[in-house]
Amino acid sequence: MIEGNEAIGVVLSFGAFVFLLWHRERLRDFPGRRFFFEAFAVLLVGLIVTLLEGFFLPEVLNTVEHAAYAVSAVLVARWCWEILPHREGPA
Amino acid sequence: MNVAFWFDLVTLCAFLACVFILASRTLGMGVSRDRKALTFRTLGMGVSRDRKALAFRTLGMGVSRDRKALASETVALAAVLIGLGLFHALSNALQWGGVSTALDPFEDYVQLLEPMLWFAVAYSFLQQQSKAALRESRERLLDLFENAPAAYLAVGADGRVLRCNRRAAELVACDIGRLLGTSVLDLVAGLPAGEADAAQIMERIRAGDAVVDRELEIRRADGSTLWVNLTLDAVRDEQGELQESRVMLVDITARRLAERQQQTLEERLRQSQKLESIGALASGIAHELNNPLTGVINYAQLIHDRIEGRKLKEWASGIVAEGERMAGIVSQLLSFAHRDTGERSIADVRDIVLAALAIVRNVFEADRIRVEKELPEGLPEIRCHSGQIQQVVINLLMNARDALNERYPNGNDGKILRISLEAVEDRAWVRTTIEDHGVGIPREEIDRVFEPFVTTKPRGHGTGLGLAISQGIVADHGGRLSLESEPGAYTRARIDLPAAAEEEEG
Repeated sequence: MIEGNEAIGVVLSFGAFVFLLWHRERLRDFPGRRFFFEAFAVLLVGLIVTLLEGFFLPEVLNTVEHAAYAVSAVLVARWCWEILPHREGPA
Repeated sequence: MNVAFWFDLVTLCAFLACVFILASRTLGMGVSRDRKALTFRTLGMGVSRDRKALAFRTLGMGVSRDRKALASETVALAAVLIGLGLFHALSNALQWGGVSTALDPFEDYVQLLEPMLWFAVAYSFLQQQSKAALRESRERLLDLFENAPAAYLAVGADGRVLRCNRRAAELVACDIGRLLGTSVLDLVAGLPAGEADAAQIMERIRAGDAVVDRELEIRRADGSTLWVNLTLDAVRDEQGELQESRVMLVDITARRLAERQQQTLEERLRQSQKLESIGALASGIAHELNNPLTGVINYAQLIHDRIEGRKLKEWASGIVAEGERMAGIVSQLLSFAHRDTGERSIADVRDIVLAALAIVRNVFEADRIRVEKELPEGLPEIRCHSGQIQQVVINLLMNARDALNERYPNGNDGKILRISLEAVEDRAWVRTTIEDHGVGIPREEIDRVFEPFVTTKPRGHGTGLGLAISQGIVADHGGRLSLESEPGAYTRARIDLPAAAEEEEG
């Protein structure tokens, strides 16, 4: 079964993905862009898998979904580490 | 426990780590004071927009400023993204524990919003990038305008300056604030030619016409003047109404000066060529006249010696005297044509002047001319042909004597002649000044007195060669001879001769 909010989430995410793809040249200077965009790609995978688990392999795909969210969250944390100032000795 | 539980736990921990990183960095835990201030500003807390932008440029993490930095808005969106992620992960974790909260109904909306925040963060960055590019472009244009080598001004229909760049202010030697509101006419106040030109330009401004490459003299705030090349163009609105005029001024003073110097040089060259041809002519004539003239004088002398009769002897003497005067003129002509003879040596100008004064002393005493001398010792020596320089000094002294005698024919206490010596231009030159208060030189003659055969003396009293020869001698020595005179008041002659190099003097 497809849940409405999940489908809308996928559509919106896909739209955002197209936007990012379209502007990839201009976003070349985005700080820590690798982690940021990878996190988004993994999140998108998680959302798609969420949608698919209503049709087949619910147990496996549910695990994949949660794994995708976890990886995405770790990448976001890494991105945060990348974009904000680092420690510079004692204050 | 389900594997998914552990993944959710990892998700929760990761988002908590995000919060920790954000908090530690922005609130400054373990970060130096400067960085704290910086990161605090990056969140835009109570800081003006300019400050925020400035602070965020420094967050570029090894990337170039402006283009690669995250703006405060972008970071704020990222913080919201993390907040939503944390909310989602927390909600999941609580569900695993069988705890339900009042926030559960919002989880679906959060799930919808979360991907959109990725879009928002990227979009915000692009916006910031566009703004930075716009700002850079504006700064570049502003830099081009401000630091242009030409002066740019916007002038209203009333001729007042509305806007200008820094070069414009530099050009008129005042600050921009003072220049704004100033009328174009004020820039040419007191300059007759400039005022006439400016009046025409004002008419053009009022009419909205263009002016191209108009040369104009303007007065600077410090009183000095300079020449500018002016180009102006009218700015009209969509209805064709005149709004203002754009004016460009380029300083051409150096060019004008160079042109003037070139004219002077050309004039000197013409004069030199003229003197050269006259010299050649004079030399030829003098040679041709010299021998017959010697014969005339000798024969006249023979007649004088052998003839009887007082009257005839007197006439013969007259022929000899006039012949000798002609011989003197021929000698001067030859001197004019063949000046530079003999070796030059190091000499003290003071000695030369004193020798010249000794020669003319008797004549001056007879004419009751008082000579005031200011001849200091220790002046730089010069390399010259002493006899020639002495000839120049004597010539100028005799001219002064004639001028004094002409003004005071019956003798007068005012028959004073001043002669002085000084070192000028950092002892590079030695100047001899001879000044008299005689009749002076008529204004219309002053530019021609150095030409051969031009004289201001009464007919029969001068050949008009003295100053021409003197100038030639001084020029041959690399010096300058100049005259300054006020008719009926004074004449001041200056001989500037280059000092010999110190090693030569030693």
